Amino acid sequence: MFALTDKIAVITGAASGIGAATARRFAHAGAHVVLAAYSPDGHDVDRVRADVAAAGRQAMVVETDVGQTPSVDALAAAALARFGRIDIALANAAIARRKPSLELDDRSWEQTLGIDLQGVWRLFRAVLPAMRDAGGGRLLATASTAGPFEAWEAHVHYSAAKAGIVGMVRSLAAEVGPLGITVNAIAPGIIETPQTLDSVNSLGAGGIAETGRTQPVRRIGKPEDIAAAYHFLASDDASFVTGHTLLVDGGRMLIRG
Amino acid sequence: MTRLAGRTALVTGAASGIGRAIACRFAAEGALVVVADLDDGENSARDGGAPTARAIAEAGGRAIFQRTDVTEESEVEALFAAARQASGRIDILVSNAGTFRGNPILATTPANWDADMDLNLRSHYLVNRAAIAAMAGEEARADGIRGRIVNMASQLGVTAPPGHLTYSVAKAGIAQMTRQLAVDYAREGILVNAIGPGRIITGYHPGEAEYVASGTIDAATAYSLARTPFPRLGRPDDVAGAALFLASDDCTFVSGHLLMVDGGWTAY
Repeated sequence: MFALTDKIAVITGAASGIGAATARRFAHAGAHVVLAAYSPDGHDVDRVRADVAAAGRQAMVVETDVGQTPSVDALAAAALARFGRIDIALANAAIARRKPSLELDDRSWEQTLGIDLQGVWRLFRAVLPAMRDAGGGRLLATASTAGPFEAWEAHVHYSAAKAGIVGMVRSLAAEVGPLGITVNAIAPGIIETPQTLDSVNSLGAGGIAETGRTQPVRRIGKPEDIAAAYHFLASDDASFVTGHTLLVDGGRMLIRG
Repeated sequence: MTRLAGRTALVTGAASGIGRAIACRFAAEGALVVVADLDDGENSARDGGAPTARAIAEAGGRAIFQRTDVTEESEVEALFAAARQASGRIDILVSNAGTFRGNPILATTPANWDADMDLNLRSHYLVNRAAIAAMAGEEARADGIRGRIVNMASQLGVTAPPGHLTYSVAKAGIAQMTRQLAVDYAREGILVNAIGPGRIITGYHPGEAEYVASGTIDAATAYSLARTPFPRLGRPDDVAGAALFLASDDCTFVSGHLLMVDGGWTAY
């Protein structure tokens, strides 16, 4: 079955971009959604909350810093206290900070790895006991083409984190598969989000438009493209898919153009 | 469910197993399904293209059966002609027909290499070529997509199954053909993807019938179960669910991908 009727989904980075689109998509498929957001980023999570509610589903906003273990543990505890279980956990929160490698100090490295890689692990670790007790669940993470599949200059830390997610997903899938828990990632290509529109730290509007012209499908992606793929991975239709990284990149990695 | 309402899907190898599960699922989602298979079902109580089409009709779906040898170019042409006549447009191809067979290299001959490649690789080329010719001539739908193709590769085209040279080479070839066609036809709005099933219990391979009927497990099936991280082996419906995603309007920005449906076998 494709529907997510009355499933409980926790999504980090839910206030904007891919996370927000996936929260809306899950709600339209019938899920109740716990929206983890980090308010200093300035994104308006209340709009996402309103959209989930408008779909007739329950929305719960939890202020979360995925860079801090107590904060993520509190997120999982709040979700369990409200709903009693967690069926789907999507570790999506991430930052991208342009930093030439000759200037990449420990602080920059640790900040990006702490959010983009360890932040994924913090969420998975926090929800695993509940999924084990429930006899199954879906762990999902947003990787990237940058890192595991292609280079991104001045983003060595980001690339290492995103490649790390792919390895984490593989090994965790093997370990928790016997518990009925599947673990998968999506590696988005170039998607128009607040992150990629940031011309200081990412491609900016001009950069993504230029990139779109060189991709096989001749366009850049939308957050909704990724949300639809997450819907598949979260559904029963993906019951036997695990340890996999699904490329949603418009064929970008086929020609590396 | 109506995720494929108004669409026509052509499914090869739909007499049994994975192909049949895909045909039935797509029909349940509202597609008109063109069931293609060499086996028309005259010699079987349950398998066969005609029984698949009948089962779809009995469930309230729409299907036609066209007996097809996918290794013969003329029969592939006749299949697409029949599909066009039935629906006017082919939106989805699932190129699934194939047979699990192969030998170590010293047990092969050039003749059986050719025969295996005809069956497990060249046939996919013939069907993909016909589908792309048909889809490229259609108007794009509202989302810019003219058609979606799903090719059945295998976990065994990623790993190297002991002693199955022609099978693994053919399945790896299907995955690479998928990537090439994805690049060449993305601009035309044709999305081409592949599925890599792991050990799917269809009931047709040695030991599987007993496993399905009574749970009695032979050594090969036991090995597969032990080797698969997920706590059960695959079912044809697992592959059908993945094929449905790749064939549906939800597949908008995925092309050239080999989606593994293997319970984590290749990740492990």
